[in-house]
Amino acid sequence: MTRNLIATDVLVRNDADLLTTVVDGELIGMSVERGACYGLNGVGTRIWDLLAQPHTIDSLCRELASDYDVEPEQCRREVLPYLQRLHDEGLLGLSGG
Amino acid sequence: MPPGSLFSCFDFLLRSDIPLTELDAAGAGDTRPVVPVRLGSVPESTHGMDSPAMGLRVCGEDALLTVEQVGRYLVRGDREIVIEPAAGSTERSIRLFLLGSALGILCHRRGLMPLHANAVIAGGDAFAFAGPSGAGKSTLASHFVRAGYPVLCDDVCVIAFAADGTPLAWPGLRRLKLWDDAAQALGHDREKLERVVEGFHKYQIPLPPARMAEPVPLRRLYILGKAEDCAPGFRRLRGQEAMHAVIQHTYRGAYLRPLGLAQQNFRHAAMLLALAEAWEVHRAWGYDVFEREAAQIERHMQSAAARIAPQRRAS
Repeated sequence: MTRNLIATDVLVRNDADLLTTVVDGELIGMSVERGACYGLNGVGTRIWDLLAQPHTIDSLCRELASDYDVEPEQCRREVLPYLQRLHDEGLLGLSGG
Repeated sequence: MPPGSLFSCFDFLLRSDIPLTELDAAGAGDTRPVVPVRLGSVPESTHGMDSPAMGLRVCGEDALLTVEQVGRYLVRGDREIVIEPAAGSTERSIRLFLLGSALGILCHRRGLMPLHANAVIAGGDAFAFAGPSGAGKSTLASHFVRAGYPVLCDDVCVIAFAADGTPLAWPGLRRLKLWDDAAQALGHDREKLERVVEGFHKYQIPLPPARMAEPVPLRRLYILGKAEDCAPGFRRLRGQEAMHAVIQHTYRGAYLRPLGLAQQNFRHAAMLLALAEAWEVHRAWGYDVFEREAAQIERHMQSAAARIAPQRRAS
């Protein structure tokens, strides 16, 4: 079931149902369930690494803000739709209900 | 033909009770592993089987494919196919699904990667052509036959991977399936052709035997489309787009998940793209422009065939 993510959701990589590989230098994920491939470039790869551990969108953005020169508010605005897509593709799960 | 004849089928042989006219007979002393195909009793379902997905039920090593009015096909592991024909079914339709879906399941299980594509040989390499049904794959292959290129396979292109990862395309079924209008436009006399399925205007054009029972390195996979929404031309697919295209054009890809082989196929797709290229082709449509469009694809393929293949440059 997918739904709209909110800032307090705790997200984690859906490793059990997930395959990844690198093609043409691009990290590619695929949900076994859905079969669609998803590319994870640049910041996406960093987000992917971070989400090996559960994160809220806020805690994720704090990490990204220290890696990249970006304000937390702008980070949230840009990262949320991206996380929503990953979630819709079945690549991210919600941790702890 | 006596029962139990051996037929060349990719990197293995089929020993079949049913004569398989679409395959080459195996030569004496061929040492490829043998997979028997026999007629026998196949249960309607096995206790503990999954609910059917596209006619397929899987329980452990048993994969049971049910085709209404044709028969039931039981693929046991990677080592045997048992067929129970339905009452009134014809040998032709039994063969059609044996050499289609059932063989697809067997290939996936034997660690091969079947693509829904045909392929021709140019400059010693294989060039495969995929696309949705009706995209003109077989018509294009028929064009290549007349232009003098050996056709490696029609409809299903089976890829094996060498120890160094090179994707190798095996010779496949020795026929092209053409729709009525395509067969006529290309100068075939449909009165002399065998229909693929009774009542359908689709015909089998036999191909000459494969020159060798040997695979050929795959160089490119072309995805055929129409030039309705964009200009005609060629576009190289990379990364995610290329992976998506290869996975989408895997033969009987819907069976991968019930078979528990989605991961294998994902890995194979990445291996294929490490040494072969994926291209999207947009072209104008219709038999009046077909020759012109086919000639463009032929030139594009030849420009790659003329260059030294990357996997050979490395060695």
